[in-house]
Amino acid sequence: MNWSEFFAMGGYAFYVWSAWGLTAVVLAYLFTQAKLRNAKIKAQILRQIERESLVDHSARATNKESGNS
Amino acid sequence: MSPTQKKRFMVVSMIIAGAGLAAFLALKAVDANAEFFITPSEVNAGEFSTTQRYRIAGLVKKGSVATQSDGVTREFVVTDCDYDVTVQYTGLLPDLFREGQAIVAKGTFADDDRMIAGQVLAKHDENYVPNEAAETMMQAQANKCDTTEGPVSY
Amino acid sequence: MNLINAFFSSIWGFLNRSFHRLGSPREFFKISNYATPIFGLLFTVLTGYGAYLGLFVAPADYQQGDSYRIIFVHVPSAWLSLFIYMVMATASAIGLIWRMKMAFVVAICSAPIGAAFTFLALVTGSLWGAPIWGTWWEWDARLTSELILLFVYWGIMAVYYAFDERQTAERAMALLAIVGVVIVPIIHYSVEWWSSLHQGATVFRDGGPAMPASMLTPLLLMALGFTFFYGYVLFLRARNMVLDQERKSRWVRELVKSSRATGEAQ
Repeated sequence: MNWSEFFAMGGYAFYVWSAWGLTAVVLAYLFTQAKLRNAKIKAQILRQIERESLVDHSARATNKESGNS
Repeated sequence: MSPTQKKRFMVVSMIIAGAGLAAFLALKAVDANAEFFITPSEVNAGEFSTTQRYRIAGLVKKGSVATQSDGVTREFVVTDCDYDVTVQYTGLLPDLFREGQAIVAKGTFADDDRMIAGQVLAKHDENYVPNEAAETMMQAQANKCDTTEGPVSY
Repeated sequence: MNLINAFFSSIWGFLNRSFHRLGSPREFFKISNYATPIFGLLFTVLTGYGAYLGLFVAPADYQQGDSYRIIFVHVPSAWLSLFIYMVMATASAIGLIWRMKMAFVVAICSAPIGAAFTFLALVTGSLWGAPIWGTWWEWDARLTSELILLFVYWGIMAVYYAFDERQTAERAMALLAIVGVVIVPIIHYSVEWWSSLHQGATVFRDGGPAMPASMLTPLLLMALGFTFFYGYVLFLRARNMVLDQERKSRWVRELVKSSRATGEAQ
């Protein structure tokens, strides 16, 4: 198989490869976007959990102090 | 389904029916405008103004393509195998332009019923055939009007 | 007769059970744990093989030469633009009638994917029309109705994001999706009802496909692969939406914590 002939697509290289390339780009974008969003949501939820546990600890700490005095 | 769900089901069905009816009426109203082209038979049957622009579609008639002395103006006949319309066009033709090929020409009618086209598009059909059979296929297309009763669809 | 009845009622029972299981976000998450990678794998294999056959093995067309190879991305995109709309409208109706959370999630997550495929169908079609028809764009019935579909998808997304209150947003979006379903038969029949520049159907037509198997096989493989891609991204998006909506719930928190611990991607 002759590669330069293959890429030339019988003179329609620009049209054929633009169409295929754009399709690949759009599909990759849909996939990447979903993956990035997933990471972002998980990070948000983790931060929330940490914040709440900090609030929890400090609340318990103040309770202790007030109980000691 | 519970009675509430049945009611909601009815509402959804009514919405679909209503939207369908609205679309049907809207399409009725634009019906003639939604047509992309007229055929040579329709050109023959109707009255057409010489100031308005029309699109006509037909097969390029076998042996009708002639290049004028300026080298870029071509005159050819499009046909639906029943009636013919002569088209005159100056400019670049699409790759697919050849005898037997369906094309769409946009332009105005001259006084002698020829169309002076400003644009010629190729209208290929739904058939895909490996290129080994190209010769036979193109021959068959070019001779279509000899073998088929008009008007043909394209 | 009894046997047939029993057969159908058992099928109905199974569908009913899976329907209710899928209706719960937590159950959906469990099922999608298995389904998502399978869909991703099927997409990769089918589309990979289809692309190989379409680009390397299928013969050139007798009149369009190699330019017709755009069909292998154009037609699957166009089919998917309609298929996704039907899924979205059906899910919207289910959501409205049975007030099912997951149905709305499926409908909303489908919209951007459907819009993307509609966009691809339009642009790849334009790239095909330029050399073959001799024009990038014409206002013929097929092209115009497909463009309207893109606007309908955008409208549905805009309506959903315009409302702050989730329930209102879901119902408004579902309603628009149901009203918009009339565009689907119009697009499909546009090349039959009116004269158009776009040719008629090649694959689904009376008398069978007007295409040899060497071209039809890669086309169908690509279409099937794209369908699984839709399912794959739909699962990914729906999982994100469930995580987002249920972020206060215990099971989501446990899940996120354990996924950090194991370093798992999903």
